[in-house]
Amino acid sequence: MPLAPTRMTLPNGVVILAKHTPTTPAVSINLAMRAGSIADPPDSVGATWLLSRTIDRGTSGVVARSANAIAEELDSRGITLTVTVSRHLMSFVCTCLAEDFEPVLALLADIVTSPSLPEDELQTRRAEVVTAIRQDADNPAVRASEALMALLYPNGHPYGRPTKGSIESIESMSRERITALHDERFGPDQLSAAIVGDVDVARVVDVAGRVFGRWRKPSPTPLVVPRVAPARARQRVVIPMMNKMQADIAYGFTTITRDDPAYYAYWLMNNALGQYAIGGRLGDSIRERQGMAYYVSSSLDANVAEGPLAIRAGVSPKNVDRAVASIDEELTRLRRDGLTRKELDESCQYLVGSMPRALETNGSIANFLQTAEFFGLGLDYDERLPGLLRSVTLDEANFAARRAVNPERATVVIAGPYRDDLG
Amino acid sequence: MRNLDNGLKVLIQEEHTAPLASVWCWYKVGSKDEGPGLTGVSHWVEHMNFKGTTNIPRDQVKGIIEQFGGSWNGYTWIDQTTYLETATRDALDRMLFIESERMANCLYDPADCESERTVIISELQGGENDPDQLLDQEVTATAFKAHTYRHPTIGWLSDLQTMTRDDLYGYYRRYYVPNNATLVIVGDVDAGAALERVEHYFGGIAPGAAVSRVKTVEPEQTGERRVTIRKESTTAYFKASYHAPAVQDARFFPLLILDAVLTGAKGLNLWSSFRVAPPQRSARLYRALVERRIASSVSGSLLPTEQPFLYTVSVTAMNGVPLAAVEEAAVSELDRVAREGVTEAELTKAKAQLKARLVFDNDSVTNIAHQLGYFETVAAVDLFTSMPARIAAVTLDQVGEAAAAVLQQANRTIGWFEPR
Repeated sequence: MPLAPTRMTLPNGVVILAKHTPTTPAVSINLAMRAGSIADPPDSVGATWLLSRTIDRGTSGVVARSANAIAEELDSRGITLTVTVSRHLMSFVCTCLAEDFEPVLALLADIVTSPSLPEDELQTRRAEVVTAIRQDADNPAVRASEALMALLYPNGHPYGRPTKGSIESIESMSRERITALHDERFGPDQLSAAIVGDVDVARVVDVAGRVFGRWRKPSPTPLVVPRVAPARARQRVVIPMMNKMQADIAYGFTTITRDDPAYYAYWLMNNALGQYAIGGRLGDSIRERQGMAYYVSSSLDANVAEGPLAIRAGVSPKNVDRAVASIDEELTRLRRDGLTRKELDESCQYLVGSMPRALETNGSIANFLQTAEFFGLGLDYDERLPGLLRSVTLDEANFAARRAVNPERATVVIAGPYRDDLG
Repeated sequence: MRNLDNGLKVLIQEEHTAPLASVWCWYKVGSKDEGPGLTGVSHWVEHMNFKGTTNIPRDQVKGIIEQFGGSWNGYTWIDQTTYLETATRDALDRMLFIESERMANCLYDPADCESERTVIISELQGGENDPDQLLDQEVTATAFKAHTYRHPTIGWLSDLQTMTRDDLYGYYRRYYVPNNATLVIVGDVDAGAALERVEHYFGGIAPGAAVSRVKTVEPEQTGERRVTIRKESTTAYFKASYHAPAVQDARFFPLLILDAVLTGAKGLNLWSSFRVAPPQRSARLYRALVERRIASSVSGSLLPTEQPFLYTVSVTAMNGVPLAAVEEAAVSELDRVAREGVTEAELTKAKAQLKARLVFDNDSVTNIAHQLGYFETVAAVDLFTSMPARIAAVTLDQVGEAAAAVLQQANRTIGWFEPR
């Protein structure tokens, strides 16, 4: 059955996406503000992240609430509010019982529109973020991924900066900086609210209109994300972490934008390469045939700017060179011989067939609606998607492989108990 | 629930909310059933049971459920091993076929066993990269001196290096019999027709000999135990683990309320509950540790187990705060609640949280099927269906008594991970 969500825009620009599902007596709320980490000022990397940690610790809007009062309101209803930051969005996500929908949306609206960002809360969250940055520094998987992004997106490109910032940037970040970021980047025409669950669409529209309708602010200046040039040569970086047992490999490329017509060919190619069943061709080679890794896979994140295709594997230090050589080999073979018709068909059948599963829960539907909204894919995207995938030809998928994954231009990062001089 | 003649328990629940079906096959075997020299065998056997059967050749495993847009997986823990497929409803026969093959006809090709040895050692080493996981393993091993809950499900490295193909295959044959299994189907199916298909695929599998069960009871702990790991790292971690009642014990649900008061309610679905943090900002330990800038995070863990396991509080120290200060703050809160119990308002809030979490735990056919099978395997399915009523019935006195009984100094193991 098609999703057929309802979409409407309030006079102030807030977009409401609503879908009634009676499956469980619960409602998922997903508010997406177009203020992700690309909004970090170049001299305050991590500002958006710190704002996201502090934004739900007090409001000064229609109702003034302390951090404790917000904690009580959420906890007493069994609700966890998760605030996440991606490159382009700050998302406020929670699930509540249907009976709690109205007060919960009102609370979220106050958090988004009128946070008080108290200084003492900011101090606590700063210390938390610094601790988290130090934990990341001891995590080979995070070190490898962040280094890969920094190399693929050099010269201060917003996709290459660490989302949490650095210890120095966080410790020196003032309340004024965080407040200014909220003032500058948050606004009604930057917000879309997806609400999915056991609540009538008419009531969603009514409540959303009441809690968001009075918010007035001018549009922020659009942020421009610079184009990205693909790497011209292979680069390889080793981050020795001799206190660890296992090494993490991050191996990747920049690819295409989400609105590139070749997107669906890339998606299918990536699925066959590093996702289908247990990690596609890479899983067959590195995990199943050679027994070298518990996990190996590839992911494609086409975005507003040219997003990455990243291959990730965790291997014993003695297998690092063999694993990297196996990735090189698989990519060379993929570029030279292409996918088979059977592989393309299998990936296509899987992705189309998995849609009912991917759209089963309220939370997953809300997330799907937000993705479609952000990239302008339309309200019937769930109905069109099977056709878009099925229309990809073998030539298109193989052309995508030849464009995307050239080992001679790969960026390779190894983090873990491995050093070049030890082999 | 129905039993086939060969002893296989079958649970089928119709859910017509999406055109999907989820099939889970549960075995009463987990790492507690492993003796010395064979630690990790349950989990390794689980891996081998994805590598082809008599009627599913090795090269046809890949894609067998993906063709239906489905996913499949499995996991092993201390009491149980389980396998699942979730796919469109027209794949029901395929899912039952896979599970019947898995029960009776897995291959255990020697080359596959060898190749999987290094995959599992890689999984173990990946886990040891995480200081918190390393500390958890050491604290659990210290808290138990007799019961087999003491060793990690992944196993000890030397056992993984020396176990043979025959060890694996023998273990598989002993435990993978219909009279040691529960099959669960939840989804857009007709229960009567589905039961016929179960009979078709599983009815011919012969029952096995009754399996022996762990008899050892962990002796009462008579004094506080401590373990300190000093290792190069950036962050300090603290744990306090207390021996806790099994899920069937009358004190389990009062203790669940206590955990909600201390660290926020999690729900009771091992497959899905822990993917979302608990609502905990007003919880006692969050207020005492995180809001006072002693810790950057705190969590509590009380899991439904067949035999008495652990209640564990885990803390990540705030950068610069010594572990002694973390311990003092955490232990003084734990001691206080053991002395004074919880308040009426806290009881009410914890119950409201758990009520909501139980709804959120059951938002998909996969999650519902998990819960039915999990509880039937570690206790009885009735325990799952009666959970809302059991939680609602917990009294203040029961929480106070459970806190006083469990949160004793002599009953705890303290763990430090101290960066060098």
